[in-house]
Amino acid sequence: MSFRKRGEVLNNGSRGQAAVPGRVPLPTRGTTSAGINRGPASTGINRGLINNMRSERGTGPSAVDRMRNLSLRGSSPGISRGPTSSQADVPISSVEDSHPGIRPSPATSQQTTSTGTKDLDKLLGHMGLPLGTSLLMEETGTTEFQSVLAKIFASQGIVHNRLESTGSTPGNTHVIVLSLNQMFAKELPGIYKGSRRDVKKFKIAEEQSKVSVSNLSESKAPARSNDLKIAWRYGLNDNKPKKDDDEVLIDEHKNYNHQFDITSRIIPAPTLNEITFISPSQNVQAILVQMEQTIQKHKDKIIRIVVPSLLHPAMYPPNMFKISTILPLLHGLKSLTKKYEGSCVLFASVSSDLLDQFLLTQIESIFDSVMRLEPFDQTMLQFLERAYKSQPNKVQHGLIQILKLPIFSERGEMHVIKSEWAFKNGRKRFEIEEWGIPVEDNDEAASGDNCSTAIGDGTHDHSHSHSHSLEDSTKNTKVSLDF
Amino acid sequence: MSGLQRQDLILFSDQSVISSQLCDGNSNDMILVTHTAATLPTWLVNALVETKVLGAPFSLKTDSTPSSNAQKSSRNDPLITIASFVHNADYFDKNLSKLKIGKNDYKMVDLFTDFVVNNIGKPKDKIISDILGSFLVDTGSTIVLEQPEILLSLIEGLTSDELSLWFITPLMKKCGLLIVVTSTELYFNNTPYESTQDKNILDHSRFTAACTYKSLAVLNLKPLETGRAKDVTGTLRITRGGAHDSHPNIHVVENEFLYLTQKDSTKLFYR
Amino acid sequence: MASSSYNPSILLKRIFSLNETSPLILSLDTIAQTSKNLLNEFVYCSSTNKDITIVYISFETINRPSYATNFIDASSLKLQDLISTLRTYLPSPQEKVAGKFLVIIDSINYISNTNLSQFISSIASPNITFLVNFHKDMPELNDNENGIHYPSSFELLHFMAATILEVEPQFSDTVEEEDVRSNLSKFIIPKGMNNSTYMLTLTNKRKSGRSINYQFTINSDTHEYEIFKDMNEIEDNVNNENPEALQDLATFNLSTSAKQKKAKDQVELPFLEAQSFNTGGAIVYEFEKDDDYDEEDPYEDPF
Repeated sequence: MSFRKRGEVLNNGSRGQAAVPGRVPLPTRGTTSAGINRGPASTGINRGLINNMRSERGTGPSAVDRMRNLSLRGSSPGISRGPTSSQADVPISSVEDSHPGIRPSPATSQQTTSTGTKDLDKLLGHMGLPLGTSLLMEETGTTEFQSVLAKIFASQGIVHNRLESTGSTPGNTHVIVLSLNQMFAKELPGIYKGSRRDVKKFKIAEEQSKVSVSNLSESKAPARSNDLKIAWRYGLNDNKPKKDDDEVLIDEHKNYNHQFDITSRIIPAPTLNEITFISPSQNVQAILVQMEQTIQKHKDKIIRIVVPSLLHPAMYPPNMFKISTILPLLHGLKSLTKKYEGSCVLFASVSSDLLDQFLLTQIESIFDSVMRLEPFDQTMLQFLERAYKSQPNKVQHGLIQILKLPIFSERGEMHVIKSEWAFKNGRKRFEIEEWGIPVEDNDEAASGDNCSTAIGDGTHDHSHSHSHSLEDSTKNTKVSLDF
Repeated sequence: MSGLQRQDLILFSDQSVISSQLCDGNSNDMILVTHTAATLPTWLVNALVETKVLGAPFSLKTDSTPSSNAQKSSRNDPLITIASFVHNADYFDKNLSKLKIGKNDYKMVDLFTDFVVNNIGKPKDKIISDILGSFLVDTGSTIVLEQPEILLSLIEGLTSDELSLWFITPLMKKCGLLIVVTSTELYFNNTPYESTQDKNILDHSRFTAACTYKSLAVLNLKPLETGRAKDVTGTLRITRGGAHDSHPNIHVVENEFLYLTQKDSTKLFYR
Repeated sequence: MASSSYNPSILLKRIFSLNETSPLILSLDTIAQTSKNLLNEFVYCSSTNKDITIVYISFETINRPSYATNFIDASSLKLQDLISTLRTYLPSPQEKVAGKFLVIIDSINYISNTNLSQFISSIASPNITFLVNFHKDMPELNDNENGIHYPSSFELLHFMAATILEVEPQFSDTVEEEDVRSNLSKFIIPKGMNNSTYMLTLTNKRKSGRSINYQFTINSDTHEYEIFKDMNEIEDNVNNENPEALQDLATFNLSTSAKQKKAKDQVELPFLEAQSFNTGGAIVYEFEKDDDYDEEDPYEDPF
């Protein structure tokens, strides 16, 4: 097993793309995780990623230790240099640019904050939701993926607020939730942590991975190469600390985005200083006045307005479904978001099956960006499960359709992108990747999602022997190098 | 796209975008801009404002004439008023400053910021007359009105006829040219309005029809039927409206363009 | 045949010049082809007659038409005020006056359904011709509450009018009429609509109780009216089997009985199935190992 060797090849070859954790050979155009970590602006080597590597890859305690060191070394220059250094050209906003939860959009340089879901940030085209804009997340069917995203969006705000690095003022972010359900605060997910218990788990996982070959082939090599890459990069950084601008950028935004574990809870639970609940079942004016008062009370903070499960019948009385009630409410919310556009973002989620087309169209027209989650039905899921027999974690849960993107759509650009992105929700993260119909091959279940080179190889015997899979994975690495 | 020639925007038979005959103080006309959610008309509204302020839509021009050629009107007060139910003043300030149009070149009526908080619960005729009061009478001027149909949703009990007769018609009388920007997204995915009983949908389509009958020209923006394309954003179609014959000396030149909007620039191509 | 002793074009000209007695003329239009050109036809044909007073009641038009003797902006008037204003321009029913009065209403859609009939009857008088424009594609908002099943405005006007003029765009051969209609329902107006040449369907209710139908092609620039087709004849031709003609031609019975005819109509012709595009034509495609499926190309989607 010559991991190191392969890792070196990867490093010299196409750095940044092939050497990405989670880069698994898939017959689509590169997974989203690869896409996210590609390119200088988005190379997210932050603590979250390292945690991610550590947890997913299970390279043993020594590797974990090394990564811990790395993350320390990686973060120190960012802190010492201070995040304000290279942001002079950024537009003025009411929130200080040093806020750890904002960064300029790579596309428009508008100040942008993370949705808490990294892949969603990427999909929005700004590495987040630009301040002063709004996002509507629709979902068809009766699943609850949208509420997961709403919770993560809120959690990200709480986490930003608790970052100690902001000066003397207590807190930098406030979350306003338009919901009756006060439990929402207690249900917010916590940051994903690689605890000691996890490490132990991973040891066991490693043992298992020796048996399950596909694990080895797909994950170990890239993981290893990645940590090599980090070592190599930071080595450079140490020698010539001022030259590598990319790294500065990464470090500056290291607390921009976090990874959340949806099975965990944020501890301690958010207090009233961090989160404000406003009941949607009052009259519209009362809601809006309360909302504005809360925003003014927390000025100089980022305000994240969350509307989870808009028009959920349990929370919204029937008269809220009247167009002349719900639309003024949303128009008012949008007006507030724009009025305080230096600090406000608005995220709403809705189960679109409950609404008729007219209501939905009117609601969509209010928001700057609209996306729609379309979970797969049972047959499609079964098909995917068959296709990814050996890698159940690759089964996507549905499509994510883009109907409008912030700022871009406003300019008049056409951004209706349908059936190009798929999502899957795991414990550790909500992933969005390019959608491709997997090749279902009953004979070769193991390599069913491999590149076509491997699929054509019908003459192999299909027992999952060590050597066979390794061969496959070598092929795959070569293929990804070629890209 | 390389094989296609860029085109200049022309609406009227005298080779103009907004003919000088329209705002001569003797007539009140309407131009209707319809769009979908995927093809928002920001660039077109900007170009029309630019035409009124600078004399021509330089942001769309093929020969990229420098703005120094622009002939600003000799009038002191702005020729154009922009009123929007969906955007605030800041939004237009930012967009138009890129086209070298200063804040003093147009008047802004912000019907977006705090509109709901300020008006909710008031009687509908009071709200409408308050809005009307914020426009001055100047039959030589142009008013751009964005998304008036949202009032059907924002004001309890307002009907399409009330919106037409109380608001649009009086507003037309206050200016020489009223440019109404309205969304037709509603009719895109829905079952045709002829077969629905939903009062809201009927009200909206009745309003859109009423505007179409009143207008001299209709400018429609829509995406390609084949969906998203890298080199085309959508089509701009210029057609005669119901009141196409109200000026005997000029007529609307029917035309269809493909257009591409990227970042802050839009190019027109002949279809 | 000889459904009418009139030459259809002459009848149309008589209507345009108001020589045909018709107290209520209904013109029907859509956004695809508005009746503005048709109005101009009335003005053109009646301009020779100096005794005509044209009262233009406008809900929609703001610019006063040059031909209007009196112009009433009805958009800000209550119905009662409109009626009283209108009366000042018109003779009362008892009054004997020379000359004709043409009252143009643009458009009647704005007068609410329940007031419609009362409004027209309160003004009507022998010398007055109403030319009422109705937009067919402006949906009606009827409040049929309290169980009152009052007819819609369209039905009312259709019933009351003696002459109905319906304008439609002329479709060229290249344009699919279906496409145009579906586009129009989305408020996408195709090019070539609202042209000066258009189709006009005339329905004229005669005193005898019959009603006759003609379709014309109208050119508003040259004021030429060309009969497009005689709809009365077409209706006759639909039932072109003439049983009498088959009598006594042979020693056996050539004609079909009603029962036979019914059976004949029910025969399903071959290929009729194929014309109902329900399910057929699905592409069934299964991947095989050697298939060259380009993953990079999002549009190469076999499904």
